[in-house]
Amino acid sequence: MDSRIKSLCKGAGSADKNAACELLEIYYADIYSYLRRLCGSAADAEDLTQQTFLKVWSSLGSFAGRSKFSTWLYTIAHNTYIDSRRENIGSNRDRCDQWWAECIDKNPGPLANVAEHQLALLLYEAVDRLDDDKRHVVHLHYYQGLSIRETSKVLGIASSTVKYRLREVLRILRMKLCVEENELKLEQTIPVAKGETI
Amino acid sequence: MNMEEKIEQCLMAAPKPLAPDSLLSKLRKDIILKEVQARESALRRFFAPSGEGISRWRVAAAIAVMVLLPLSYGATKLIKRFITISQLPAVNKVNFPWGAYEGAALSPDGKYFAGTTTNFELVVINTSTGQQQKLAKNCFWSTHVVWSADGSEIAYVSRRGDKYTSNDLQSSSLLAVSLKTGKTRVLTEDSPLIEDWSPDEKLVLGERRSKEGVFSAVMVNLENKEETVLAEEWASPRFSPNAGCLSYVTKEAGRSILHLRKVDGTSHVKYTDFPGDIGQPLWSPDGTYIVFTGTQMGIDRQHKDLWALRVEGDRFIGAPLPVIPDVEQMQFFNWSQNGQLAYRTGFQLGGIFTLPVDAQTGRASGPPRQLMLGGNQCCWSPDGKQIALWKKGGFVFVSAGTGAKMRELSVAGIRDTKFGMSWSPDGRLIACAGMDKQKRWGVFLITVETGDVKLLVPLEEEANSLTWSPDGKTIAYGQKRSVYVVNVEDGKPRQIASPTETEDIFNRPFFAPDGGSVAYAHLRGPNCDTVLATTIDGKETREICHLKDPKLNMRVFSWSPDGRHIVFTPGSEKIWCAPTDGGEPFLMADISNLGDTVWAWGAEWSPKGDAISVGVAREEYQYWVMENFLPTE
Repeated sequence: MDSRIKSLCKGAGSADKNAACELLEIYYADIYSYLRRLCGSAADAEDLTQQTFLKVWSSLGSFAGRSKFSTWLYTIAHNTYIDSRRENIGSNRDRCDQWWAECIDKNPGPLANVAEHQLALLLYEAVDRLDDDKRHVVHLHYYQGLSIRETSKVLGIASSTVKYRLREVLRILRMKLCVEENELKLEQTIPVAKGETI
Repeated sequence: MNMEEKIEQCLMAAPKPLAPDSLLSKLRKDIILKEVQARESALRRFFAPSGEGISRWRVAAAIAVMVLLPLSYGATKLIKRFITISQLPAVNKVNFPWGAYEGAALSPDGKYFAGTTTNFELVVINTSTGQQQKLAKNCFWSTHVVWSADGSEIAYVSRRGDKYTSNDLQSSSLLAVSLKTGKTRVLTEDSPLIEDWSPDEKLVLGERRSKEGVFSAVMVNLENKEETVLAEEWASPRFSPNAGCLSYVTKEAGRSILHLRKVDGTSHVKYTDFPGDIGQPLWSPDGTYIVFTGTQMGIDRQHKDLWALRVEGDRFIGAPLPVIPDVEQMQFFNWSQNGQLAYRTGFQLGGIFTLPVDAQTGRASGPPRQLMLGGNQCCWSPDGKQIALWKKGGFVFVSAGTGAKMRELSVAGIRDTKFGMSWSPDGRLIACAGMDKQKRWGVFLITVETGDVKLLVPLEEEANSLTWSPDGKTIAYGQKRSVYVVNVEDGKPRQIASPTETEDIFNRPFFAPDGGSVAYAHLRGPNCDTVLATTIDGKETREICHLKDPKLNMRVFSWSPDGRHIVFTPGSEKIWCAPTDGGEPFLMADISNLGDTVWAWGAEWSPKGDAISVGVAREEYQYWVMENFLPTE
């Protein structure tokens, strides 16, 4: 663990509020984005982020330093999210909100051309339609950038299981995208077939 | 980029939702901290539940759980699955002999290690304390010693009297000495070289050597002296632990055959499928396996592994399994009843050395220099520029000055040469004493250019040395107890000197520089203090040199080309020189700085007298025991 984070954890454990604030500033944005992507609602994400950090401050004493602080933090966030899902089991959660589309429009990044832009949108929607086990590994490993080992610790599963799920995810996404890309190409070639220009 | 990589890249580049500005301030307000107490380790909490001193009861309980629980789950069985090897450090201080079939054995309880030394003593060593006990003298070294089944006695072959002849094997007794009292008893007066002793002490297995030097494996009944020939060759026979069966190895049509035979002869099975040479078969203490060294030719070297073959009653079960790889350097002794297989690892570090000598004074003028690693027999070329070494299957010619290998000569017709070779004065031939492929002993002439072999004189047994006359017309050689000369043209041998005393031997003939007489060592018992010379017509004999110091002996010597000095090696790390004018012998060189166990032998003067060649034996050994190496069921 980074020595700076270590000393901040130690400080927070000794009721040093400045240290706790500094830890908060380092990690709150990551935790918010993680929860925001998962729950599909900005208000819910804010609420879950608050709950996560409340749990962090109250259980700081149980953090033994055997794993990275960030891994421990993600574990709490993940469990908080799972708990909230259980509590709101009847509610109809909107997985595919408009955030992805807006966000991609604002910040195209590497998805410069239109086809890739459209493909990315299909991809993120496809991820949101994955079952929970697979969706969680994608969020932690790809979206949040955790290593396979860290992902396995957060989810409480073996590294080999994480690897297996990632392989499965890629297989499913490839299949889905191939189908949808072909449909897209088909739509574009119809006018040409009719003798019109694109 | 393939589709999967594209997907991965896209996922990793997923846009990040930005946290609202108000969130951080909300979260800051939520920070409620309380001071966390220092965490105690789980172990500390267990051993000191009250937070003060460590509870002794809890420590005792933990130890009990840690020891008893694994035991109850068969931990001892688990431990026994692992091979263990350990060195017997105490044994290394004893000078056990070198040779092909040297004998030492671990006692049935593994507490003692017994063996015969180069001083003809039977020594027993306590393997834990290192305490040594000399139990018997006058042993035949380089033969096996065998413990009785109860470990109270050791059987060994004893020389009768102080004879030191090549025929000793035909006149040796088998004795048993008590470990506690040191008292000996005779098991048989006419003993083969013992290999094993049955647990009921009524039978022995061994190898008997005929007058012609051919070995046969025999079983001897110690009560009625009845002898059963098991094989007409050296066969390493061994009793099974219950003495119901015995095993031995023979060679048939180039293949090794492992035999399993009931002692009473009612059953006999063979294992014939091993694709290499089988050696040193030993029974496991419970009689369920025979382990043996299996030699196979690899691509560029010979591999030797330890194999185990399952035995049930009087049958072999299945095929041999390799259990220990690469045992080329190991000499296995015995597998004692306590489950330990005793063995030795050896390192041969000697070779042929040359020592520069002042031809006038006969004193060394520089340090010894190693010409070649290994090698046993060597001789100088007549011009003194080359040295020919006998290595298995032929000669290697090396430069006497630099030690660089000049060429190799394959000599297919000669099976072995042990006791001497000599280069003819014209440089065309090398005469050697040895055995040919047809197992005939004799004096052979080998053409240096081609390697062709000619049998000059057939002999009943091996000659002990040979030498060319300076004119190249005659060869002198020693055989049995006498000295002979043979004309190279007609091959007719003639005895020129023979001792009058039956116990004496004339040995190691060497032509005088003038060619008129032949010098030879006069052996009285194991020692030799006199060199005599007899004219080649056999009419006159005179004394060339006589040693006053009884500790020295000239059994192996060489006469300087000018006839003024004799160099000899008494079998130690020292090389001595004696003037032939009656002067005091002096130390020519001490090679003890080459190693602890080093000794020199077979010194031979160069034709110009400015150097000697000398064989240096330096063998270092470690003694080990090995357990639990068999495959688990």
